[in-house]
Amino acid sequence: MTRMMRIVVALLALLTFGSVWSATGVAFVHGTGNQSDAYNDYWTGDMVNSVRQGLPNSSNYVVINCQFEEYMWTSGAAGCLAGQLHNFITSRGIDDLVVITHSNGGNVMRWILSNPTWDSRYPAIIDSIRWVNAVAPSSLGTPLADAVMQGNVFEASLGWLLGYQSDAVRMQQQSWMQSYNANWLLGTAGRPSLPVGFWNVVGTDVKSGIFSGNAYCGGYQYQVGLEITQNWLDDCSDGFLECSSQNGAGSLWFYDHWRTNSDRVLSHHQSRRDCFGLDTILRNDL
Amino acid sequence: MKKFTTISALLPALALAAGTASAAGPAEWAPPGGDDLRIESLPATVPAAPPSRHVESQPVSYAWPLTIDRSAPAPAGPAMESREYWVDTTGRGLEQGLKLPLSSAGAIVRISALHADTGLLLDAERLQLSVDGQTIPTTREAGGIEVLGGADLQAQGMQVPTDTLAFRLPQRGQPDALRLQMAGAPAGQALVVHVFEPESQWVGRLAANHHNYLAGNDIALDVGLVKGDERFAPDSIQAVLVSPDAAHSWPLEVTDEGFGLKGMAPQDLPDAGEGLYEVHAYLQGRQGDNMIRRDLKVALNIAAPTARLTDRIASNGSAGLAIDLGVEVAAAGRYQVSGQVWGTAGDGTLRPLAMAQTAAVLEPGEGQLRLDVPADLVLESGLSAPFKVREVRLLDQGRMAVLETRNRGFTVNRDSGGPRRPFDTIEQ
Repeated sequence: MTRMMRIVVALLALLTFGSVWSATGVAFVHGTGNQSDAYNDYWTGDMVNSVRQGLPNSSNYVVINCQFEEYMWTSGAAGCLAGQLHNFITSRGIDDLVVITHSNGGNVMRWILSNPTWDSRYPAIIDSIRWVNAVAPSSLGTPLADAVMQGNVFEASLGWLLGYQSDAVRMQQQSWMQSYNANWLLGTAGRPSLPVGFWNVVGTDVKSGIFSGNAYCGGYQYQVGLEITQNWLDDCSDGFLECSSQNGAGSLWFYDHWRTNSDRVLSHHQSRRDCFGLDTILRNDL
Repeated sequence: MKKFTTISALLPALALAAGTASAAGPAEWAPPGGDDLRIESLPATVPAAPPSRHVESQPVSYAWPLTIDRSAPAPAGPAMESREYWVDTTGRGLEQGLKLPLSSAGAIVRISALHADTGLLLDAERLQLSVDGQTIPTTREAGGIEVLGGADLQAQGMQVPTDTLAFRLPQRGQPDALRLQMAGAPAGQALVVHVFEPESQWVGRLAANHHNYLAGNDIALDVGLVKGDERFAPDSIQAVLVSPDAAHSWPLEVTDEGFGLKGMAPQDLPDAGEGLYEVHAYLQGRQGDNMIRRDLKVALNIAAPTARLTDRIASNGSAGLAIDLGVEVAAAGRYQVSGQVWGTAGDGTLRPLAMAQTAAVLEPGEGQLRLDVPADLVLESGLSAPFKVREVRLLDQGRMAVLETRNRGFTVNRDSGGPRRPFDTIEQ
């Protein structure tokens, strides 16, 4: 079913059965990193507060803070996410949850959706979700993760293979995601679909020129390393993830320039901020 | 989708009114397929396996409507390409200078401390570069290349150590080698130099036919250097299988024709932490006087035979579908079975119905897992028996291991009461 049809069905259902619905909510799920204040440090208040204005009750939101430096299935990652989502839906009676993920947060969310029998809290969470809006998810991994994980085992100790990297970076290597997508995660080509919609927002390009207005939203300092990192990536990328990875699982919602103000593109950093109307697009989807 | 949920509340009652709504009868396994991963028998003694790390103790079942993205087939096995290689060195080695082979202009070169947070602070001003004997200035003021630090790359999400220098060589000419020299780092400091040639025509390739292997299985991979449509056997290949914690490695042999690797998954799997095994391959070739280097790796899942599906299968006479599958368990753990359930439409064709998954903690011995599809899901689909359950998988959740894949799965036939389509009841 296309996204538009699902929206129509949801609206019809709202008109027909609205009285039996208890509450709509939104959850913000951050990407790689151990967060204790993702509201300020990852999303910013401007982004969160703008999006949640689309709720009938704007206090029905939760900003997730978990240990996403770990593998996606661990207690610190998916277990933590499940705990915070479960608390949110049960304490507030949420039965119509829109989940907004960014980057590797999409993988952790997809873990829960793909493995409902892993944890007895997962089915209730899945049943409460209307859909997931996955902003720049790293569904097929990124060559930048491969690039920083290598060493030469014949020239140095094998310890280099673990080195300084987090498990989350290791997991987002491309051949690792090939394995997890083939065995444990659903929604990629040739695999069964996820139990709820997983709609991708894909960042297609990065503008780093000092005269480009596009480069300044979210902070210009975040763009200068592109001269090096973009060489690992396809022509279509947000500076960290190729478009093919961002749209590697679930369904395409939109490429950034289809809907952003003045057809702007969203870098990987900008797609978690209120840049170029992204916050309004997400708000209007609640 | 709440509309359907509300309607669904009525369906169990309809199912009961229809008796066995799905008209499901006896079930039987299909003959084994060539691509199946199967454990024919468990070892007599408990296999060496990592401990089960499962946390959940409650049995959980879940099913949802099945659709499959047919836009592309699911890839059969891992496959990677590489235009890059890594060289390990020390502060002393870097001060003496390294000669790094190049196969194209515009190479990206990164120097990093081997471990994070060394406080080393590599000094870009001490960097000396020459390509084929010609000095490359490293300051913009002198018209040279720009050297970035670790923080610049980290800001793009590339998690290199802070103690990093990175730069791109000029995009001109056909260089053979870069000489890289830098003083200032402590002599014994471990460093790594990463050379990536995005514009090179030379690509290293490494691929395996399967993602999943059992302990003791043969492992085979394709490997080679490719330039355009031509494939070349490298002059030198070194390859190893490495455990997830990188504490154990097993050498792999190069096949006689030079385009393959072969070896065996270890019989006794160490407690090597979470994550995947990896095959690392280091390729070296020559084109004239030019040396080509490429490093590659792919991830593999290797499992100890902690449990297996038996031939025991029974269709329970519930309103939906409830299939009890026999599981023989060697090591206690939390085991999961999943399957793609297809049902028969009015025109006799098979159509996707549900994705079903179940998991429970099982102790050693004979156990069973019940694959359940609720009656409302069957009724909503409009499909009925015979059902086929494909892509049946047995997974060890606590060890993150794929134990069995039975792609042809099993069939649930009509019951002896004859065909009844669920919606016949509703339409009446």
